Amino acid sequence: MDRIELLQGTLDMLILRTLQWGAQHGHGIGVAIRASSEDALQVEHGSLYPALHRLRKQGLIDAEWKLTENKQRARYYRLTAKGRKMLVAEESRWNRMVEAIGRVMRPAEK
Amino acid sequence: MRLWHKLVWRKLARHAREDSELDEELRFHLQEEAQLRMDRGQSPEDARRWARRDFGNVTRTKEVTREMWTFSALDRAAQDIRYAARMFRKNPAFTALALASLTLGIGATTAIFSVVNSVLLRPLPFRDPDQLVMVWERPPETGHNNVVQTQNFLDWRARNRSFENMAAVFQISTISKARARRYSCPGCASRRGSSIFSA
Repeated sequence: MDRIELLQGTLDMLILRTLQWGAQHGHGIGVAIRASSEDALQVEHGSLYPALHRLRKQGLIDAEWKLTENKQRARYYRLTAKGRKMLVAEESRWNRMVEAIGRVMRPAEK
Repeated sequence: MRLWHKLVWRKLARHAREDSELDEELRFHLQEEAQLRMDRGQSPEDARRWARRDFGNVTRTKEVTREMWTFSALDRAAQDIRYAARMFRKNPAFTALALASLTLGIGATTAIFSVVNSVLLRPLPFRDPDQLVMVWERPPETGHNNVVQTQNFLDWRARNRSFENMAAVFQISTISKARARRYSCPGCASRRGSSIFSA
């Protein structure tokens, strides 16, 4: 299957969305995005970390070192209240954009 | 000074901690991804290789991430200044040109402003400067002002009915106050003096 490059600026939203299900470490987030897009989205895992640290600096997520099931130290990220709000806003912005672009691309079907 | 040192040290310590934590985080990521692939039946070497490939450039990731977290606006400004200094050193011809044009530009602006300031903006250093006029001699058909002959001036003064008084100026150079006083007209007194014309 062909993989699609991620649209500029959507990675933050995908990360926030993934963290909605609970705290997760960087690798877990990458795997979740890959799995829930059914391998269609090409997210270079390395690009997750600048995004994670930026979101953390903006106070949208929190970080905490915890042990994994295999007793390894890993940094877990979770949504803050501010992050939750941001996710809602981003989601509605995204939906409006998809709708608007759809109208432009397929005017006949409307 | 001490406080400054303390702040710098604390910052460095924080940077170092962030760095080592990021290293650990990325190491964990690669290891976890390799494990996932091994669980799916890849050989350990393949798993490690593919994990790295999926990840992208590790060094670059570290650099960009570090920037996200540790660099404040001040750090970036300091970095820019250091970079500028390095570039100036590396390119002396350009530096000289830039400096020369800046120097000339600032110098010219300052010079012009000091003229405008003393000629147009600041009032003359005499009492009732708005009462002061300058009288010239203009020979017919020449169309330009001429130097007034001493005898002509004396005649003007003797027959004067329009002005309170008249005085001649030997040399005009009134940009700075000190020089204005040095060359001031005979009979003219500066504003600090008691009268404009002593005669």
